[in-house]
Amino acid sequence: MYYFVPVIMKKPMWSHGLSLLGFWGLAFFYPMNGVHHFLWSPIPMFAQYSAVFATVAVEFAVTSVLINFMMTLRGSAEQLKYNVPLRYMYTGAIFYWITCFQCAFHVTLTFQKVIHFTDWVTGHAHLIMFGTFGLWVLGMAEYVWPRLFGKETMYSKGLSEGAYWLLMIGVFAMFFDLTAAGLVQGFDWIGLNPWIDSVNFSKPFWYFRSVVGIMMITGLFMYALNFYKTATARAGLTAELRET
Amino acid sequence: MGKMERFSFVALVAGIIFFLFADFISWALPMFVLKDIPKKSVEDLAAEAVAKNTTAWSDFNKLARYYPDTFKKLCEYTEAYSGATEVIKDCKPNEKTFAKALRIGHRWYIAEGCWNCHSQMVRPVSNETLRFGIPGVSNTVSYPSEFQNELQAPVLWGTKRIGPDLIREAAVHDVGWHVAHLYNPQSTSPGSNMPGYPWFFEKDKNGNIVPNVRGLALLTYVMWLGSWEVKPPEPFRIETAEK
Repeated sequence: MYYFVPVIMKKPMWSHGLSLLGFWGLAFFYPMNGVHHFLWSPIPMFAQYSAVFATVAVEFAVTSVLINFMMTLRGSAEQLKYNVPLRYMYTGAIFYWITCFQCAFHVTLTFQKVIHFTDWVTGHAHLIMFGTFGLWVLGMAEYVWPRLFGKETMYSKGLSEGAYWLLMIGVFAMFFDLTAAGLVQGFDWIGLNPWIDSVNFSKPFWYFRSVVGIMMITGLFMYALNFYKTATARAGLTAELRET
Repeated sequence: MGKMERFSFVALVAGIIFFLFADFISWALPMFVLKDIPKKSVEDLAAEAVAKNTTAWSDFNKLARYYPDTFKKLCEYTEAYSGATEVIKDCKPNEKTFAKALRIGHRWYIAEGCWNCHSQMVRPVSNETLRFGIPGVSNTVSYPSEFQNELQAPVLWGTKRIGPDLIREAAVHDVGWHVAHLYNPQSTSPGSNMPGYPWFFEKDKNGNIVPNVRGLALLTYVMWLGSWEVKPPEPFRIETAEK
């Protein structure tokens, strides 16, 4: 991200100091975060409290990173309209901030009472792993790929755009769906209803999840097809719109 | 820029110290806190269950009595995956066969991904003690020492509940229920979305469907979960049966 964003936009990061702060902030607070997966478990409470503290602190470091990237974008936001790799990077960055913001709340012992062991956590993991790191990798690959094969642009603008929108809408819809499902399951369990109720109540959410899952797979197939076509296209592809 | 470089040097040193501090908090300190709890092997667990006459031991005896042919095969069965390499000559329900069944069952619980949908941890919140605990019988909330043994490595606490928690399962259903449930979950739990596991079953010489060796071992393992907290019910106590 720190490499590709300046390379794609051909300008330096807004603030070097802020990027240092972000890096060391994350390096400081991330190592203690592991135990936040085991709150209310038979792990000593000091480890659990330290994980809660460190995870909330991570949100501040991530916010400093996001401010830096948003200020770098300032004045160049028009590029997001036609530059799909850049759009992947910034979508991922915004999803990263949403995930960490959510995390700062649900890492507390109060939220954990309800959401631990539910689909809420699954939705959260999807948004960070696919929505952030997945989209970043896709953006980087799409920037590098045509250059590897001596082409100026990807084979099809339509495939490129279609893949982006299917993946972006798909993963965000899945995040919303699973978050809601997690709340339903969590409160249903607290209410001591028969176990089978929580399965039945979850089914509409799981069907919706299947639909958006198919959307995302379709998007990835379009993305892969575009890569294949770009690599095997005979003539050199030229960009209609030159980057600034 | 010189100022910034000094700042980054301070940050580097502080970062390394903080990393070590995090390591200390997250695993070194818990290790010191828990070091006095001995880690039990499967053989220790089996010996303890036999000595205390727990429900896990009586359920294993029941399985051996219900399915004698499968039990004979269990003695001869070897499998590198679960570390069951020994053929047991003295083929009856004893500490050795019990430990072997627990070992195989535990490994197939992992292999079949049971932990994808079933957790093994009761938390002290969200009415979980009411849902999963047995009042007056079970020490309901999970505590560190019950996880200090070979059958809890790797940790099977789980991350997602689609089915209910299983760490107090010995107090919930009997072994007959589990045989039917493992073969066809919908037969005992209508509406369940758990798949059946017919490959843990085989046809015996009379054409009846009975658990195979892995099935018997898996059932032994599941009936072991939480058995250390459950008092054996009256009919299975030997002194009551003799009168």
